[in-house]
Amino acid sequence: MTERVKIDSTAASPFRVSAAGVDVNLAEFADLIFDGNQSPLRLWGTGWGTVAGNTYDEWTGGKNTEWSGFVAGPVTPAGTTPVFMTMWRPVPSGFVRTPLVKNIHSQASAGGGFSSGSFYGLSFSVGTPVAPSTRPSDVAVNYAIFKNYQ
Amino acid sequence: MALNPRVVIGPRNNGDVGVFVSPAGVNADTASDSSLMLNITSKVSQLLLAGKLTVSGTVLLGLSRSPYVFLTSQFDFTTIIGFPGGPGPIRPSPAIGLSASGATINSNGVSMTITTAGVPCSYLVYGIPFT
Repeated sequence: MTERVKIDSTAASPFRVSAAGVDVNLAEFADLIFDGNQSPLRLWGTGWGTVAGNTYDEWTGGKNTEWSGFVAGPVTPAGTTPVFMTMWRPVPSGFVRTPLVKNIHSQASAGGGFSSGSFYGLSFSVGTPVAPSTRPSDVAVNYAIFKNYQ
Repeated sequence: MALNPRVVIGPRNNGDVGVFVSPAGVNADTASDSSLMLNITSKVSQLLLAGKLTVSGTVLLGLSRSPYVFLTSQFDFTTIIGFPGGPGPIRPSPAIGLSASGATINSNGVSMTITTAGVPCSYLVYGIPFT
């Protein structure tokens, strides 16, 4: 019978699980479904928020990013940040998009990032010169933050 | 009174093989997949390595095939007028005014050389072969 689970505190990896039909003692990385040397992605939290874009006046003044309220993330060692994923969509569109920077009038673009321990939704959208002090439509930014860090 | 096993290592009732952990009061041997707290039976989220380089450099992998690698550049948020925080990772990556970071997988997975875009670059290496 093929050995698929192995716990050995003296081995290079203390805990390994191999794919079906593969001997855990001989499995290469592509045939392992778990290796105790690296924890799998562990979800910390998900959510979403809205953020307005930049007015035309702000953009001509040098501002190219507007941000949402922050979401305090898990505490990680100094100098590291949590692994995260983010997507966005214009409001009220239901079409979810990958992060994008355009800084073009009337063309929404957004993303997200980690700064000083918190996640921020970011909008790179810019209002029109016809209404230079009016913000463009909101975008909704969603996120998945993991306990893993890098 | 029979106790429900909360940890199963190896095969469980439905034939899956792996490691299974159930919540208090739930039998890890017979519980549905969705009710488990931990279920290691697939390679979907298997990270091999996670880390960060502040300058371009080479990371030893010790693999025999090229893995999936994902990079995320840092961004100096202090360049955003009025932003309250400091530098950090951003998506899209990099976002504004920077060239792209990149990675070369050397010798079919023996190592990878990351070229940063002048800012720190985080990397995730997955247990899935790319080639």
